Formats: sequence, structure tokens, C-alpha cells
Amino acid sequence: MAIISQPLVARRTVVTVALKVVLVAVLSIALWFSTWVLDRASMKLALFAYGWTYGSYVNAIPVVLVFLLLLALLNRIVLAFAITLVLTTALYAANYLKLKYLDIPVSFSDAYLLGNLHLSTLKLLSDYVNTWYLLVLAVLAAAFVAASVWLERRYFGRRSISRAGLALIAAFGLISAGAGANWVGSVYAGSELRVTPFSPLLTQLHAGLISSILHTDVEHRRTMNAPIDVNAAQAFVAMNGGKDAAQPLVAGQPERPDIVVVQSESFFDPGILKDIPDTDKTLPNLHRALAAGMGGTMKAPTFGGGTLRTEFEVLTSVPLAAYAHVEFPYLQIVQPVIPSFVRVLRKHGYQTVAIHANDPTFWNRNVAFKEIGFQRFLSKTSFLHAKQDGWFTSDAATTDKIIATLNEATSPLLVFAVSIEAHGPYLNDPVDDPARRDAISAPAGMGDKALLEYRNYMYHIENADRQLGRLWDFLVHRGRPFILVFYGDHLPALTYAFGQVDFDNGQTGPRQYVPWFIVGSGVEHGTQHIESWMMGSDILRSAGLPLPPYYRLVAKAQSALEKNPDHQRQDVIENGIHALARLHMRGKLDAYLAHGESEGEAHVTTASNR
Amino acid sequence: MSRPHRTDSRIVGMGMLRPLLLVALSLAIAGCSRFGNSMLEITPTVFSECRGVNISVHVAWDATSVVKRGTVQLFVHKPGHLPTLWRQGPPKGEADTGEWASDGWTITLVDDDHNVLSTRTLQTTPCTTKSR
Repeated sequence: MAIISQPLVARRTVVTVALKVVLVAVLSIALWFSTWVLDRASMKLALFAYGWTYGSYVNAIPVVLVFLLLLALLNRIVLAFAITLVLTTALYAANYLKLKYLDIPVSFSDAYLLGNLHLSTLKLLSDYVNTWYLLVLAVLAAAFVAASVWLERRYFGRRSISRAGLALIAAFGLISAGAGANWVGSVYAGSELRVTPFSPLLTQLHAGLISSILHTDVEHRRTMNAPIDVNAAQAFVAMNGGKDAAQPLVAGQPERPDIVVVQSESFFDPGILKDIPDTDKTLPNLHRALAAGMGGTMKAPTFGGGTLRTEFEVLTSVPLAAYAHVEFPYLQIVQPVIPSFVRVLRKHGYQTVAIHANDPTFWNRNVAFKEIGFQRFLSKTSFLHAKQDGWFTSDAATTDKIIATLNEATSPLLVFAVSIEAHGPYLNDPVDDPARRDAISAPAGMGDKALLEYRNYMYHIENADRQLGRLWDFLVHRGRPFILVFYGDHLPALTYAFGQVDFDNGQTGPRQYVPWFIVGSGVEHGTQHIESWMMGSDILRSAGLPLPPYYRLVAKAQSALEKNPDHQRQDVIENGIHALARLHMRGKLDAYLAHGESEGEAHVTTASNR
Repeated sequence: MSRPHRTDSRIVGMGMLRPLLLVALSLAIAGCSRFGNSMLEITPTVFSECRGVNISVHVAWDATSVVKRGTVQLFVHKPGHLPTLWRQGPPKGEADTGEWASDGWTITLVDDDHNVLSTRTLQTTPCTTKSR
């Protein structure tokens, strides 16, 4: 055996350490590069657009931290690099799919969704990806990990101090980033990243997905804890007008009407598409109701998905614009009591029931509905053996459940039903009656996929319209006063069809409106454009009930916005109602209105410190 | 049987070259595999936001080295939107857009088999007091 001199061994050790450091640096640079390329690819941009920018560098910080942490934990550099790359690819694949189907990028709020994963979520998500591919990938990944652990050389020696130090630094960096530490606010500052507040897509374009997620998280924390703009609230409260708007629409009745609210999945009127002249024959009950009752168009705070956003606004009358960074309100706004028109009805002796043929934990509804004030929630387990049409429980089965619930009622009843039949995806949809689907007329010039998607969608909303007519007839012949409320929660994600057919008004899908109406005992005809947070006030007024203070302010805002088309005036109204909505959510509105501006300010300061 | 714990510095040093080479090779393949010899240029490639939201862009393309027969298509889209067909025709040409290209506007050159030959994205610089 050759004898190696001590200086030579020392020199080799130094070279080895230097090479190791260089290797980590090179792989970190490779991760920065590949993360940016994936980011661009997920948005279908040129693969290095906005490369060499501040955003592109800081976008990779969490990725490199994950790599360093894995390196320290696994002690294998190729394995750590590969896992990091796979995780990053998965993130950007999710971003690609979310952009494709929902028109919005992945956001920090999606972390709440991951925390609430359950079987029905996985089933829904599996409709959008090929499960077999995922399984094959999982097996390959497991084989790669096993081979790497077995074959790859350990990176650190035994009892390595640098390994422990690296683990600590990387873990601290990741945990503090997730917790929104101060350094995140500095590194991911809006001015450095070129954040565009109104457009998550332009923010991602300039700063990268990961940068924009971390920036948004910091902003979200600031938003929820920020002091409320009392001046804006005061300016709106002091505005003249709107008193008439708060009056009940229907004279008080000896009997309280039953109230049925149907939130119809993805329901919009395709008559607003070019080459679709009208939908009088395909959606006859919608048009009958719009002619008979109060209704028109409604601005929903979401497009292509995100049902809970519209649902939250309708139930609470709180505009989500008051919480600009809240994407999934049922998951992000969690408090024991969430004020709602449901709670107002309970004070008037109503029993309150929610119906939705899905897993009760989906979107955290089982928790949120209790906080909002529902006494019962009839979910998937109440629909055993119910008829499906397409992927989901049919609207006929949901209507059966509404009717059965009304028949069992012993006191005035609120039924809030969320349909599910018309939920996407709309390609390869196993509808019950393909012959009827294939006979549906469609705009000329649609490609095969767009045509199939459109027809499947139309098939389902024709079913929704049919069930609407059935429910309305039932309520008319039941012999009790009633209010029937119906609206679409958002436009559907008709990815192919909307790509080939324009809208009559030349605007894009997210700028279109859904239909809404209220019909029933004493409700007179009227046409009005509303936003979904105005619905609760209109429901209470249509039921002949006096409006509590917040709902009077909502009615005032609704009336004022309609009468004041100029933007400056609209800003006063919207900023005011947003400030008041946040006071309302904190349970501080009554005190604010009772004590006036100065004392209200004290209340607000206290509230903001909670 | 447990795997031997090798600590010889020569082996470690040589062994580390392999991942480096692997990464370099992967990046080289990723960088070269898609775009071949086709040319797609937009003018300007970057504009100041002081000029406004939308501008007109001159587009020139040449895919004659990869598309011997047939046509090419040029798709355009804005971030988050589906690409729509803008031009279809011979593999070499040039054209101006209207004044509707904005930040993040992306143009993609594809052949008849839908292979992506090249992609360009329009970028902006922020409108600061200096750049005014």
C-alpha cells in the first residue's frame, strides 16, 4: 500500500470540500434556471421571458432552500436535487392546469386546500388529470428513490457539523417563509417584484409564481390585520339617499313565506354568446321567471370555478373585495359566528337547512355552514342511491330533496340548495341521454372538442332549468307563501368553446354576468343588475322582513351604485361598504353606528389588534 | 449486507463530476431540443409602460430550414388566455400586429404538425419618473 504524505491528504481534503461547495452552487443555479423555465412554460411564455430579473432570482429561493434541506436530511445530492425538481415541476403543472381551467394561477390559499384534502377532493381533481400517469410516475419515483439511497454516495461524513448547520439554516428559512416573517416582506416587496395588484397573472409574469405567492401571503396577513378605513365608512354613512332602498319589497304577510334559494352550478344564459340568438326555448323557465319576478344579471366574484366565493358573498352579504387577498373564504375566514342573512332569518323564527350532494367537508362547508348559522346540512350521505346524470348527482335528485325537506317542515323554512350536476369537466361527460345531448344546437364553426363541451354543458343546464320549473310549480301549488331565489354561481370553464366563440358584448368570459331572479308571493316584476353580495338584502326585503342595520347599508349601496355611474362616486360607495363590511364581520358595526365616528374609531383600533 | 462507506477523497472528487456533467448535459439538451433553426423575431422585444398599455409589434419569421413544404401558423395569446390563430401561411414572412400587443403578449410559431418551432414574449420596463 502506498504511503500518502500528510500535506497531500490535506490538499485533497481541501479540494474535495471546495468541489462539494461548487457542486451545491452549480445545482442551485440549475434549480434557479429550471424553476424559471417551468414558470414560463406553465404560462405558455417564451421560456426565459423576464429572465435575469430580480423576480426570477428570488422566485427560486424557496426551491433552493428545499434542495438544501433535503440534501441535509437525505445526505444524497442527486436524490435531493431530483426530488426538488419533481416537486417544483408538480407545482408548475398545477399552475398550468389551474390557469387552463380556472383562469387564475396557483396561490398561497391553495395551501388551505391541501390541508383539507379528502376523497371527494381527490376524485374531483382526478377528473382533470390522468390517474394512471400519476400512478406510473409514483412507482418510478419510488424506484428512483430506492436506487438512489442504495447506490448514491453519502454527501456528508458521519457526525458532520456542516450537515447539521445546513439543515438548521434551510429549515429556518422555509418555516419563516411560510409564517410570513419580516424578511419575506422585505425580499418579496411589491415594488421590487413589479406586482400588479389587480392582476395575479401580470404579477406572475414579472415576478414568477413563487415570488407572487409569498408576496400575496404577506399582503394577506397585513390585510386581515390592517386598521379599517373609518373615514371611508363615515363618508358612505353620511351620504344622502337610499332610504327607500331599505324598505321591504313586499308588504308584511300574516304568514312568513318559506324561502328556497337555489345556487345553480355554473349556470349562465348562453344567449349572451355570439350565434346564439336567444334561449327562450332551451331555458324556458329562466325566461318565465325573469318576466314574472325581480331579477336580471349578477356579477359573481369568480369565473370557471370557485363556487364558494359567490356562495360566501350571497350568504354573508360581505363583498370579497373588502378582503382583496382572500381567495377561499370558507377556509381563510374562520370564526365562531359569521354574520349572514341565515342568522337574521333564524331570529325571525325560521328553520335553516343547507343542501348539497357532495362531501360535507368539501370547501370546509361543514364548518363554514355552522358558523354561518345553518341548523342542518344535508350532504352526500343524504343522497344515497340518488340518481346521477353525468359525473355528479342530478339536479332532479337535489330538487327531490328540496321538496321532501319542505314537506317535512313544521315552521317557516329557509332551504339553501347548492346544485352540482352541471359541474365540469365537460369533455367525456357520461350524460344519461347522449342522443338528446347530440341534438342540441350550437354556434356554427365549433371544433369537435368545443362542440362536445358546449353540448354537454347545455344538456346539464337544460336539466337545471327543467328542475327549476318543477320546483316553482310545486311551490305555487303547495298553498303556502314562498320566495324562490335562483342564480348561477359563475360561468363554466368551457375552455374550448369560449376559445372559439365570442360573447355578444366583446368582453372575455370573466367579465360576463350570470342570471338571477326572485319570484314568489307578492314579488313584483323588476329588472336590476346586482353583485352577489347584494342578494341577501334583496331576499330579506322580498320576504317582507325589516332590514337589520348592515343590510340597510347594503341596500343603500345597491341603490347608490345604480344611481351613480361616475367612478369617483362609486369609489366612495365601494370603499365605504368595504369598511363597513369588515366592521360587520368583526361584530363591531352596531357599536360603530351607535357611538359615531370618534368612538367607532376606538372600537376599530381594538378590533384590529385582535 | 451494507454498502461500503467510501471516503477516499479521490473517489469523492471524481464522483462529484458526474452529477455536474449530468446537469450540464440535461440543460444543453433542454436548451437545444425544441427550437431547431427556425427564426422568430418581434420588434420591439421590450417597451416602456410610459408608452401605454398596448403597442403595435413587427413580427418576422423564417422556418424554411425546418418546414420544406406546407405552411406555418402563428398563434398569439396574453398571459392566462388561450392561444388564438393570428396568421397562417408560407414558412417565411413578416407582418405587423395592430395596436393590441401588451405586456406578456406571446407569439408562437408552429408547423403543420403542431410542433412548436419558436416562441417570443413581449416585455415591458416600468414607467418611472426617469423613464418618462
